[in-house]
Amino acid sequence: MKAPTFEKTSIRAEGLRKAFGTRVAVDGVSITVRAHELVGLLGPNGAGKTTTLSMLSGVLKPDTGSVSIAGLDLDRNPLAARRQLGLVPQSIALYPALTAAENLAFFGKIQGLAAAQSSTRTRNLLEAVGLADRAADAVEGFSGGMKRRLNLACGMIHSPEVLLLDEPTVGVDPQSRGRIFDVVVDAAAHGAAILYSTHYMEEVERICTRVILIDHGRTVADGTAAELIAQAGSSPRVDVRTREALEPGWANGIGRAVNFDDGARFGASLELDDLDRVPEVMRRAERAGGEVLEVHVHRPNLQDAFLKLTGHALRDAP
Amino acid sequence: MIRAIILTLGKEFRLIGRDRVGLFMMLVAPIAVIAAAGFSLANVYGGRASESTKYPITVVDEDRGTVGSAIVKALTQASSLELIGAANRDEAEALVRMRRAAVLAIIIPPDTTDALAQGKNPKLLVYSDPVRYIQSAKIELMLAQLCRGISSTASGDARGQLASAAGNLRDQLQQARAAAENARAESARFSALSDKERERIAAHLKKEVDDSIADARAMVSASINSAMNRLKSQVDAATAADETKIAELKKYFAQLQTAEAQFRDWLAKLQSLAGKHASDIPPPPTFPEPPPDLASFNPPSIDLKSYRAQFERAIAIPAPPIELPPTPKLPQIQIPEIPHVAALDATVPGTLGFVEIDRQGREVDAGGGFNAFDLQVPGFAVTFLLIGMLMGVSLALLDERDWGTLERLRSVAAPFSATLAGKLLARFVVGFIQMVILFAAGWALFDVSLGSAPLALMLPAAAIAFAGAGFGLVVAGIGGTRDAVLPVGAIVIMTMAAVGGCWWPIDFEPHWMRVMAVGLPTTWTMQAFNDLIIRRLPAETAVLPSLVVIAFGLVYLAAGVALSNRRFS
Repeated sequence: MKAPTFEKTSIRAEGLRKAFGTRVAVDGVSITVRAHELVGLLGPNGAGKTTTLSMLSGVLKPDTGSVSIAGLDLDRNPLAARRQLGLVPQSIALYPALTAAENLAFFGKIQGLAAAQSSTRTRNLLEAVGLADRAADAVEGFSGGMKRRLNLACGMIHSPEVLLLDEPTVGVDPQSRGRIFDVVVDAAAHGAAILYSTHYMEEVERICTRVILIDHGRTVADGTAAELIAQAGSSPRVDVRTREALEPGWANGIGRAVNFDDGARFGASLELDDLDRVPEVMRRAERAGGEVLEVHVHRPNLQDAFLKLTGHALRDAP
Repeated sequence: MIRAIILTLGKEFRLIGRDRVGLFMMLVAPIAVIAAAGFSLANVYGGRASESTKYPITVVDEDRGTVGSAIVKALTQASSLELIGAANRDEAEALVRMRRAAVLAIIIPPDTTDALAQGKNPKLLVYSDPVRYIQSAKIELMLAQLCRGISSTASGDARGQLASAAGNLRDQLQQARAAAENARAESARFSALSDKERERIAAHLKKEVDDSIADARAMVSASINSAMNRLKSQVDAATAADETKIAELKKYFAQLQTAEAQFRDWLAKLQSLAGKHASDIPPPPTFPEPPPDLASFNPPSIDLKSYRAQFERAIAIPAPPIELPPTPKLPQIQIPEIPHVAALDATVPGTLGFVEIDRQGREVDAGGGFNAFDLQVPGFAVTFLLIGMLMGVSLALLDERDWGTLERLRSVAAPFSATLAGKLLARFVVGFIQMVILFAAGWALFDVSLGSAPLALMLPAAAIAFAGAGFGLVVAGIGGTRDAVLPVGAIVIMTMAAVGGCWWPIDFEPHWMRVMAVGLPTTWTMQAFNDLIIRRLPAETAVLPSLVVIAFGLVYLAAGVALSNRRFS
């Protein structure tokens, strides 16, 4: 993706802190997102992503810290700031009994659009999210993907300067996901500052220009995907499956190998410093294991960095 | 703010309009429950709705007399009773207490008719099923009225017979007196008739005499006239010749007087011509003077009229007086006064009864009650209004939170209070319309009275819709989750409805419960509805209870807003 030219700061959050009783959900998070910027917000379950988005959208009031949207202080000038804000919640925030067009019209008008503007935007957005032919159908009859696309459209109906997306592609098929990406990227291209919260690393790698990784309510990393991968220090990995069990030390001098042998399947997984050594790995494995049945070369990616930076322990949301 | 409220209002109306389950619960379910409750409880409250119900009873007539027959006949004709045959009192008792086939058994003991006729106080026997207290009480009231009616009829008959006998005696005395008075009148009439006849005869006799005298006078007068006329003719003929001669003589003397005057003129002229010889002329001879009375002399006439008058006076014979003897006086008939017979004034005491008068002064059936639907329609309308508020406000807010729309609405450029206000306003309007529709359905389907001021029903309806909306907000704030809201809300609503008198008259409740009920908006709402619909009081009676309900609504609203802000923030 071509690096855009970022302009003014549309989202500025400083020192956000929010506690629920004794549990601190967000602890001193600061976020800056500029116009045209599409920033991924990553973090394990319970890391504080949704709480952060809620504070940025004004749904939750931070205990400390400040938020400004499009230059407007959210605390001092909430209605004007919210007018520049579009929130796409993680849940399908739609009225099931209303039609797609009625949902869009309602949220558009309540965000201050005039009837004509609302009508035009409704038509354009329904076209953009591929629901133009279902405009008059009640949402309760929609598939999950259709609801997700409409959910996104409702957050964008008033052309906000700031778009906060909380896992907008959960449970959708690849086609819907692709359409959602197109719409989001297009919005950023037209000047919106977008904060995109998700669990899907590939989405972030695919569309986000920057990534903010938070864990335990704190910012763990902030930068491009490559910067985070580099920051995590992840190495390329080769997974080899052989006909016979590999002897210990078969990869000495090449990389750190971990053999596996469950009686039916044999092989090893080893980290390399340099992917140029893969052919040598294959030769040694063939010698030690009789025959190489499968080889998987894994380049370090954002998920590796994510796991590296946040650990492998299970995170169940409170 | 206002724009957001209007937008929310429109959105809520759309959602409500498309919520078929909600509409069913709002309109169809209440009507079904009202119908079930109304028809089931119609017998408790009376009124028209209970008219179609028939209570099974059994009657054993051991009396076989007039009273027994009258009671059986009346019970047979009673539209609300169904008579089941029983051979004897044991079977009748078994029908009520063992087989529960009859609500009540009525035994008319032997000799009831005779005892009543003899002035005794016979009693009927009644077997009842204590479980069917209400039906038994209603039938016993009917039986009491029937007994009173029979006693009253018997007393009335006795009173009538006594009055009839006294009346006959009075009539006979009156007839005797009338006969005497008639005889006296006839006597007087005969006396008057006799006097009149006597006068007529006297007049007749007088006329006869007068006529005879007049005839005689006429005949005499005619004779006199004839004689006088002949005499007059003769006299007139005798005097006519004398009158002619006298007229000639009078003419001669007139000529002589004219000649004398002419001679004197000639002499005077002669003397004038003679001059100095005038004195020589000798004096003329003197003419003799005619007799002095000659000018006034007429031939003598005979005054025949005086003679005629004399003759008539002579024949004027006075009529003789006619005097008939007086009629004899009839004896005076003395009529004695009818003596006062005290026994005739004696009366049998009447039967004490009562009549029930409605507000319009009309007589109504005693203990007639009211149309059960007059209570059930407003009562269940209020109940389902509150259930509607539970679903429409409490659960709807939780739904919005679960859907995520609430989160989205909290992030939009409109205050959350506007969203809340729009939602509550929509539910208030819908609740009010629900009340109006249920009342209209009650009026159309169940003949519910709308009272003397139908429009006044809108006041408590609007008040409870307002209080209900506030109540829904409170429940949403307290409950927090669907699982909590439904049981908590349902229990509170059912309690409010039951204790507040929505399902039965609040007077059924014990005193302590009625005291508690003062703290519920349902109590005041039902008071207003009962005053307007059942008691048919004027519109102003609904003002105070409605204001109290609105005050409840304001308290609920304040608490609900505070709780909701905490719950949904």
